[in-house]
Amino acid sequence: MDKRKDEKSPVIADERIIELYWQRDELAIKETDVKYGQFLYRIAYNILHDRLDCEECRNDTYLGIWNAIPPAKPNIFPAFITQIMRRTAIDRYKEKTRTKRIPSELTLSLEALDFEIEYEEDASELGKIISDYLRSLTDRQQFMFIGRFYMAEPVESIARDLGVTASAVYKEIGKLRIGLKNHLERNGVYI
Amino acid sequence: MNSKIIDGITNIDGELIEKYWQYKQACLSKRRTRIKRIVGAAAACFALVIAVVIALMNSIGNNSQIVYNSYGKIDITYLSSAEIVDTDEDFFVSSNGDIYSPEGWVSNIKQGSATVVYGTAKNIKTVKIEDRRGHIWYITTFEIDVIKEINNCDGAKTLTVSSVSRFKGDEPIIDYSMSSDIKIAKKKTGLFILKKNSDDIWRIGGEKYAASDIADYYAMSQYDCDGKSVDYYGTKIDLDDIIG
Repeated sequence: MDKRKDEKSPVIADERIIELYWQRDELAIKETDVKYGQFLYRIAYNILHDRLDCEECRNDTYLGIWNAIPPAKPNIFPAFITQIMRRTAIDRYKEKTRTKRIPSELTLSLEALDFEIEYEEDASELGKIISDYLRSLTDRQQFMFIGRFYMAEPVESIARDLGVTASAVYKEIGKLRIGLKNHLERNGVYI
Repeated sequence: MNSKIIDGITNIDGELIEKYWQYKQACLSKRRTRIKRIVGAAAACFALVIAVVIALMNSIGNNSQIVYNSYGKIDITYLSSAEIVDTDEDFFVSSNGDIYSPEGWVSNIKQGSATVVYGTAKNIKTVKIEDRRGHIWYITTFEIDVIKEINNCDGAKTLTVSSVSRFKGDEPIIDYSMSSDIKIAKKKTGLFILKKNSDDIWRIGGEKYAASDIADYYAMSQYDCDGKSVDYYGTKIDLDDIIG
């Protein structure tokens, strides 16, 4: 049984957790684990599909948060820790996929983006171009895109959140893929 | 592996991730509301089905309460919501009607259509039923073993007889000829003044009953009698004098 489930400590507000990080109180990590441990694990599992890797990534994420706050003062704490977890898990994903294919949701989602790109600038520049594309979409389309390609959520889970069928999400994601491809080409990314 | 696109997506602006998170919270909230509505609607449907089933069961139950006695009349103790009243020896629900002079009473008996017998009551049953308006109904049925036919008799050895009265609180509601207190001390053997039950429909406690399905006769009044004379409020009148 997961140890966290046995602990009876009450869930505290995100602002209080951030405050604890600023005070360099290690209780901050414990509270983050109580409140968001399962959530972070799920993000890692969608990417890595391996329990041990997920556990290690989660611990690395806690360390990443500890190092980032301060100076960071996140507006939305779960969004902030999601980004750290994503980076940590992606690093491990890239490392592992050098030798074998990982049967995770991320792998499945990337198969939909069936184009290779050539881009000389660094990843943050490419991130800005993709961000611009996302801003041109509706909130709903952004939710689908980020849910599928950033969070690597299963299509069924996205459909459940939106109250629509999985086939409707697949169809919309197909359109978003074409839209992204066109946007990248227009912005000097060779495909 | 599409490494560059993975890195690109990993580096999208944090503000977009925040927006994603907020949108997800809104979706979850909507989903919870949707589920509550569905559960609420399902609960309402379930309650409706249960109500219909209960109504049907009650309806079936009420019909099954109709039990007939050996004379083919309804046994009132099985009526829906009937509460059996223990009347001991004081069984007869009767006001004895208006009080006349002995001569006037004899004249009424002789000229009227009432059935008059000297006999003994048996199998006396009284039940109490409360209707939706809070009115209390008292229904009594009994049989009379005829000792002597006096007037308008059809030769039957035993007569089935009913009596109904209704009360609102302690006040009798006078809509039957026999509306009075439940307990008036009467001897079981005496002179009975009866009338034939018509095909009237009685609505008692929300149910309809044909009066003739409960008994053939309706009890109008009863007087002490020794088989030769009747005691009419202290005046002895020979039975022969009232034979029409």
